[in-house]
Amino acid sequence: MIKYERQEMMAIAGARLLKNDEVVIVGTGLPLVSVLLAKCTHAPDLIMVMEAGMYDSNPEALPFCVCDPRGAYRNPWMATAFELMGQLLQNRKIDVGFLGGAQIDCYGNLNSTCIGPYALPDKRFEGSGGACDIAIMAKKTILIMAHERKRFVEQLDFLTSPGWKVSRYPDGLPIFREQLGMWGGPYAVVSTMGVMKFAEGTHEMYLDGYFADLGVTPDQVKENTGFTIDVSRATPINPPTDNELRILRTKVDPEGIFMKY
Amino acid sequence: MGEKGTVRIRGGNSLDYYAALASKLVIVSAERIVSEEELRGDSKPNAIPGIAVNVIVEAPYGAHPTALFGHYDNDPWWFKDYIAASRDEEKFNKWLKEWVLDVVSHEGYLKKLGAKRLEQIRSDPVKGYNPFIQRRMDKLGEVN
Repeated sequence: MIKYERQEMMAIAGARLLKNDEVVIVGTGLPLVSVLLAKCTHAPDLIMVMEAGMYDSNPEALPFCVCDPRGAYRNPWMATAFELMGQLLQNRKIDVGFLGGAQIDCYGNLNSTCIGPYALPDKRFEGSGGACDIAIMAKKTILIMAHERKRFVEQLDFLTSPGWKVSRYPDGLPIFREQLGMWGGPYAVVSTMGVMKFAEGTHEMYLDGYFADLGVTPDQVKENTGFTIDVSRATPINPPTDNELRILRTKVDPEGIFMKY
Repeated sequence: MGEKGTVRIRGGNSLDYYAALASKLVIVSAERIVSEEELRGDSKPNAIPGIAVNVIVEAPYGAHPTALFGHYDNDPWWFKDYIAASRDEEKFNKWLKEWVLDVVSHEGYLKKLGAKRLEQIRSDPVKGYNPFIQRRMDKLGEVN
């Protein structure tokens, strides 16, 4: 059995959620690694796009951000950011949005803006970028982030990208996304502990699978989640195969840009 | 770019065309200014028409420390220095003096970077980036 790191399991779990015929818009970091891993394994025809305009990237080397020249090598077509985000995304051409974040709640609402009050934050992040548009208009979203109580929270410090249920402006009434005319919605959350999905009807997050091979238990997931989470349906997630690890380490991120070997 | 303001961008132009149209004053810093004649014949890679441009500047390595497709890659040494310097005010002020105030001009900035460093970030013209550059800042060696 090959030893492996937690972030490798995350990248692999993310890759397994993607299908061969999907058009995926991808954010910087782990989402990029997951999508490229999927393309190098079970989903070679997957079309990867990036918000700066890269369309159908098949990079030879891992881009370190969504506007790295590596993502523009031999693309069949290049969009402007406006064509990609305003036209392709808005015309429902994007199947999956793959995003990271700093905070999430039980409806998959995402904060990638700040920790603490907006006007005087303890930590300020890069903000939405294209994330809010992607969360609203991709046919589904996959989210990836570290699993800690301060990140999986009852109440976000700031809502950057809407999930299944948000507060209506200005009266604050809880309202489902489809009532606001948004399609899509969060499909899965990949964390450092496992994979979460959202219950039909209530759209509340539940634990679907956990990284048992890394010693994670459903109880640990409960302890590290700041809201009540249903773990009754959870099953252990298969550890990485030798093939997945080999391709990740030799082809997708051999330099360890995001995997930090 | 052309001497009358036609802008050619390879590797994707992101929002540049829209930004140019949305602005009252447009300054374009280009790697090279050429005759307009050179940019005719293949209009596809030309991203911005001359009527949307007010001022043109020829500044080689003008996008440094970020990448310019087909010319140079992101400069990992710069980012490593900057990230380290931006952690506290004193270090940052020292960095600001060294890399912004004291270099006086773009030429002075390039001179301070040095020919070796510029050579090391040079991109493969076909691939658009430098396939050999070390991108892990924690494993970055000296410029040699």
